[in-house]
Amino acid sequence: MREMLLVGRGGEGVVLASQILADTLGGAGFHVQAFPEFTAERRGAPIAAYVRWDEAPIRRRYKMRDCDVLLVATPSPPSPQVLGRLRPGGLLLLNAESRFPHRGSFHVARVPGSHIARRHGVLSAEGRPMANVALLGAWSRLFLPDRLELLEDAIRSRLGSGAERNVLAAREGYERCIVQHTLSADTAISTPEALPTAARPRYPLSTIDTRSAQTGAWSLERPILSQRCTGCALCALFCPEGAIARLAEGMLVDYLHCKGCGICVDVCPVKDAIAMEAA
Amino acid sequence: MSAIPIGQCVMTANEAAAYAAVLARVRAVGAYPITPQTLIVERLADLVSGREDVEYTELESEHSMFGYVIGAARAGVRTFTATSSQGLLYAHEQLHRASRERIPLVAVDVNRAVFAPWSIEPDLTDAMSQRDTGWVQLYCSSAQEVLDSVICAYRIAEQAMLPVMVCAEGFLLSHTSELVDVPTQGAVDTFLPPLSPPEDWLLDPHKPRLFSSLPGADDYFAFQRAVAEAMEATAGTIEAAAVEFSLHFGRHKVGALEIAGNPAGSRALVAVGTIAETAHELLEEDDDLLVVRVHAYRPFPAAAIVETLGRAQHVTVVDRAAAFGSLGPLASDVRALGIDAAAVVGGLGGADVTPTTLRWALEQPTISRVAYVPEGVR
Repeated sequence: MREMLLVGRGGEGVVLASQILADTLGGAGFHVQAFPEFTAERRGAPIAAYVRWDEAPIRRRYKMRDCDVLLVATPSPPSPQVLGRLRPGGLLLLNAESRFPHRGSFHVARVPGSHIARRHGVLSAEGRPMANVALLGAWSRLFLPDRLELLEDAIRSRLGSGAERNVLAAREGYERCIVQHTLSADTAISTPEALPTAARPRYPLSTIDTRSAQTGAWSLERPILSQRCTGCALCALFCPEGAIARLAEGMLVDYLHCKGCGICVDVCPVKDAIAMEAA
Repeated sequence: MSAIPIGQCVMTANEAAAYAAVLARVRAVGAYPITPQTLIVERLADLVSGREDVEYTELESEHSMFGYVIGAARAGVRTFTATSSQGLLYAHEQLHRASRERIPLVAVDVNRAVFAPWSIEPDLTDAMSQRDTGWVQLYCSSAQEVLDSVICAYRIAEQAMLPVMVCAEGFLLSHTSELVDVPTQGAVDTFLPPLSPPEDWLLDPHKPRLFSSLPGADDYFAFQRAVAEAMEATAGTIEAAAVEFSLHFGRHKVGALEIAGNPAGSRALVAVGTIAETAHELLEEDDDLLVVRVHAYRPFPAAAIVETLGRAQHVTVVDRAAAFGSLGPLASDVRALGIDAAAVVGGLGGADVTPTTLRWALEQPTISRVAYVPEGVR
């Protein structure tokens, strides 16, 4: 049995990718399971999906903590915690244009998924490139070589009228998949340090200090203030997260909690005082 | 209107439930969204859109939703509804009403943890805490079984004149894409004849009558006794429907129990749903183990369980449901049969129940206390 973990952010098509994989593997005659794990159920929030496939029926029914294949949809390196879930000898499939610098006892394959998506107009509602299908093309090259038509059929049946540009992106992902390097098992992956765990409260009034929920990690864009800011603090008044404060030296944005909604830009009365930039 | 696929297809249990309802030719659907069930009523909305022979109604709450399907059934049409967790709990009094009024409803409960604190993860406390409401309860372990059980549930409900709840754990089943074999409409039509409830039970504007009005104590008691007797008789109905279903659709039979492993094994593990499914992995390394999956939890298959567990010297029951102040719900039922079983509660709020968890459970002593799986045993 192969166990695969797909990680990304809500809105990147990670769950859809896992469903397309399930259709593809079912079409190839495998028994398959694909299921998502939602956390905050919000665009931008961390999301995971799990895929298992085997020639025999799959009886186990639980989330996998470790995996043989780790697909990272977001175009940034995975955290040590996420990377630590890849079993020794496993395969890391990255949405990346350049080499992955980490050394560990796993194989690395990469494909410039976001770049391919933009080229073919595979974009989210916000206009951001969706790397999911290009990554699936790379996956097909690695696990079902010469059966790309199965993936194309699955994309067409899931996406209907918008499918063709996704099919083209998958094909380019298939072509441009690069297996970067294979390291020997003795260069062991560094074990991620355990996160410090706060003492659990006795009653579920508030399971954590709300300030420790760093919802800024969900943001796709963030506001940057320019010298034109007059410090009127209208943005701080309207910020739904309370993530902007007026200090003596000017306005300060708390990026650990800013979700990147852009309301500050909308309410700002001064031209070009705030602009949204990619987070 | 989207179409139902036929044959082997990849789908989730939520999609399988929606397809089954349409294949059963439901005429009234009551809908109210709640994760992780929402995809069922969403898919149903697509499937019945534009059809004049199906009423699809979004209600303002689950309480009203169950009232709606009760009323529609009384008017003589086959109904469907689905919910999860707080939705089922909010409808609690309607659940009692449905069984005592002998309404042959079929409802899917996609099992989700109960507040507090918030969780959308799988947990059977929602449905198991409704075990005394007079509903037949079927717990599933795959998307295929969800599709099959919904179709079978109409047969059972309409023969017994009792409501049937088909339960499927959230995410582990509801959102898991897997292979499902979808029968043809013709095959389902042969298995499931049109609803034909008794004349004296139906609402009829030409014969205005009072339903469930204020009877004397003896009459009230008699109606309750009749529910108990109908529930008891339903054990035979479930078995007969399972046999006929397996023959008609060419499937492995799933009756009240599904038994795997060594029938003469000295140790037995009893569970419902995905926990019992995962327990199959233990069988690869352990030829002394018997795995008993309870598919029909109400009516409780007491005689079959006593017979099945007769040879086991050590029985362990694993519940994915809390019943504070007592054992797990299933463990209480097993011990009530005089079987000296270890009672384990695990997997609440979607905590993983892995072979490691189950091996730990099998080591627990058969004392009359419940053991909640400690943190980290996974």
